[in-house]
Amino acid sequence: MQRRTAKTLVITLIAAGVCAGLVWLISYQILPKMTGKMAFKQLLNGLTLGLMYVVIASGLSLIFGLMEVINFAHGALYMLGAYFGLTLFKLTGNFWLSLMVAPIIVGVVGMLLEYSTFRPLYGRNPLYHILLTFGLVLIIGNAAEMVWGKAYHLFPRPNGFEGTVGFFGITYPTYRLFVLTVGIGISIFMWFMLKKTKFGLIIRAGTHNREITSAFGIDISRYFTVVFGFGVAIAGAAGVLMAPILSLHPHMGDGIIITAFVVVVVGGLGSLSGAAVAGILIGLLESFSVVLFPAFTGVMMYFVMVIVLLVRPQGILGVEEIR
Amino acid sequence: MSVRLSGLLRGTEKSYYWFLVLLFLLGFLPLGTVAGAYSIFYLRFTTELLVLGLFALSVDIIMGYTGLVSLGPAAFFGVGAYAGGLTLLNLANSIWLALLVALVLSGVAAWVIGYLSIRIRGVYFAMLTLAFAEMFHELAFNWQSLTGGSDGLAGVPRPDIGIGPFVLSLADPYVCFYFVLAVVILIYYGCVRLVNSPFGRILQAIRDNEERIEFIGYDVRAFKRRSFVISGMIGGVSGCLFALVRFVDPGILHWFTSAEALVMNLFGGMGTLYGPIIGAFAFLFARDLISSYTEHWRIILGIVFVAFVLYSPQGIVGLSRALMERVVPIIIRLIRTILGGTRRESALSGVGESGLYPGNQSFSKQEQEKTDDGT
Repeated sequence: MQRRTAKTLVITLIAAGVCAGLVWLISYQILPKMTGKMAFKQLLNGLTLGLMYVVIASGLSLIFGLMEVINFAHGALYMLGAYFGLTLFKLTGNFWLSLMVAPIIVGVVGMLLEYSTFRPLYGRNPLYHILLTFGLVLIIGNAAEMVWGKAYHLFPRPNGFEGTVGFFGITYPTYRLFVLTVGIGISIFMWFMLKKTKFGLIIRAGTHNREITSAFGIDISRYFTVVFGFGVAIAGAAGVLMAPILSLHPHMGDGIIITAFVVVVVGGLGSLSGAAVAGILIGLLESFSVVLFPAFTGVMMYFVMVIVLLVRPQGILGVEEIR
Repeated sequence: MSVRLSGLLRGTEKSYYWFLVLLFLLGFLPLGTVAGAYSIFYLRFTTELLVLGLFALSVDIIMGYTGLVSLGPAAFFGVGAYAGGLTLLNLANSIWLALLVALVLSGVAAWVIGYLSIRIRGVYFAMLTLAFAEMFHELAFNWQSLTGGSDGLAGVPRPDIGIGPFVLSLADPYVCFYFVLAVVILIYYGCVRLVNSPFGRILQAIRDNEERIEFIGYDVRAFKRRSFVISGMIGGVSGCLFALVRFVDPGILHWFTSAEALVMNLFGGMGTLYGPIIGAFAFLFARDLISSYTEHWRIILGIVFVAFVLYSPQGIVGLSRALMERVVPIIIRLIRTILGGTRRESALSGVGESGLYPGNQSFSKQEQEKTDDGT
C-alpha cells in the first residue's frame, strides 16, 4: 500500500513537472517567437519535409518488412536518384522526364544490386546485410564522387514552379507545394498498391508470414527483387524531388538514412501507416524547432524517439509484438 | 526473426594466449625506430592501430560474444574521447583521472542506452543503438560551449605519468606507444579471462540459444546489459586513448566510426577477441596503402569489403584457419610419404584432422547454412 502511494506520488510529480514545463515552453519560448502566419508557413514546410521522409522511410520499411534486410544503402540510392535527375535534366532540359526516368534507373540499379549481392545472403544473420549495404554505401558514394565530383551542384527549379504563390495571407514557393502534392500522391499510390491489388496482397502476406505464403504456392523470393527495386525507386524519386530544394553532393544521403531509420522506429517497424504518421511528425518537429530552438534541431528527433520507445517500445503504430 | 550469427568463429584457449605473446612481441617494434630501420611515423601509426584495435575488441564483446548487433559503438568511443579530453583540458593533467572519468561516463552512457534498447531485440536493437549514437553526434556538434562544436577540442595536453621515481611524458611517442600497448595487453588479457569465466560462458550461451538460457532461469536482459556496459567501458577507454594519440572532434561520433568498427570485426573474424585487433590492423593498413595511391580508396575498400561479406564472412582468422586445415594435413602427408610412410598411416592422419583444429566445426556448419538458403 505504502509503495503504491509513493509510486502515485512520483507519477503525479512527474506529470506536474511535465505540465509546468509545457506551460513555460508555450508561454515563454513558443508564443513570443511565433506568429500565426509564420506557424502556417512552418506547418507547410514541415509537411513537405515530412512527406519526403514518409516516402523514403516507407521504402525502407517495405524492404525490411518483406526481406528482413536493413538497407543502409537507401540513402546512397536517394543521392543517386538526385544525381541521375540532374544529369537527365542537363541532357534533355525537361524536368518531368528526369522525374519520371531517374527513379526507374535507380530502381534498375537497385534490382541489379539485390540480385547480385543481397541474394546470396538471405537466411543468414541480418548483420551481414548491414555490413554488405555499408560496403555498398562506400562504393556508391565514391562512384558518385568520381562521376560528378565532390563539389555541390545546384538543381534549378522546373519551368512554371520558380515563383511563389500567395494564399491565406502568406506567400509560399510553388515548387514546395508541388513536392507536397507529389509526396501525397506517392503515399496514396503506395497505399492503393498494397491494399487494393493482388500484388500488394502477396507482398503483405509475405511480410506477415513468409513460410505460409510459400506454402500457398507463391514463390515469394521472386518478389524480393521487384520490391527492392520499387523501394529504392521511390527513394530515388524523393531524391529528384528534393534536389531543387537542397543542393546536391555525394554525401547528401548519409544523414537522411538516419532520419529514415528514426522514422521507421518511431512509426513501428514494418508498418507503413506508422511510417507515414512518424514521418510527418518528425518533419513538423524539425521545421518548428528550426525556428524555436535552433540549437536543438538535430537532437529533437532522437528525443522524441526515446520518449516513444519508453512509452510504446513497438512504435506508434507497430502492431507486431516485439520479441 | 533469427539473430544468430551464423558462421561465427570460436576462439580457442590456445590461440588466445598465442596472440598475447604476439602483443608482447610488438613491444620490440620501437627497436627498429631506434636503429633507424623505419621512421617514427610507423610507431605513431602502430599506436593508433592499437587504440582502434581496442575499440574493435570492445565491439567483439557485445557482437561476437553476446550476439547483439550494436550499430552505435561510436557513442562510447566518442563519450570516452570527449570525457578524457575535457578532463585533461579542464580538470587535471592526469591520464589516470582522464581514464577513470572516461570509464565511468561511458559506462553510464552504455547503461542508459542499454536499458532503453536491450528490451527490444534483433534489427530493432541495431537501429536504436545507431540512433542513440547519432544523438551523441548531434550533441557534440551543437553543445558549443562544452565540446567546441565542429572544431573539436583544441590543444588537449599530453600528461606525464609517474612510475615510482621516474616521470615520463606521454608526448614522447615511445612512452605513448608503451603506455597504449600496456593498456591494450591488460584489457585483452582481462577480456580473455572474462569470456572464459562463468559470466562469459553465459554470454556465449545467450548468443547461441537465448530461449534456453532464459528457461534455465537466468535473467537474459541483465546479462546482456552487463555485457553492453563492459563493452561500452572498453570503448570509452579506447576513446580516451584516442584523444591522447590523435584529436577529438565530432567526426569520431559519426556513424562511419561505428561502421568501421564493424568492418574491422568482419575483416579480422569476430568472436575471437584477437580477430578484431588483427582486423583493425589489416583494415587501417589497407586504407593507408590504398589512399596513398588514389584518393578513391573508398570504392576499392568497399569492393574488398563486399567480397569479404559474400565470400569470407569469417574474416582473416577464418581464412587462415581454413587454409591451415587444408594445407597443414597436406604437408604432414607429404612429410610422411617422403619419410616412407605406408598408406595406412596417411589414412589415419586424415581421421585426426578435425580433432586437431577445432575451427573445422564452425566452418562446416557455415557451409551447411550456405546450402539451405532459408528463403
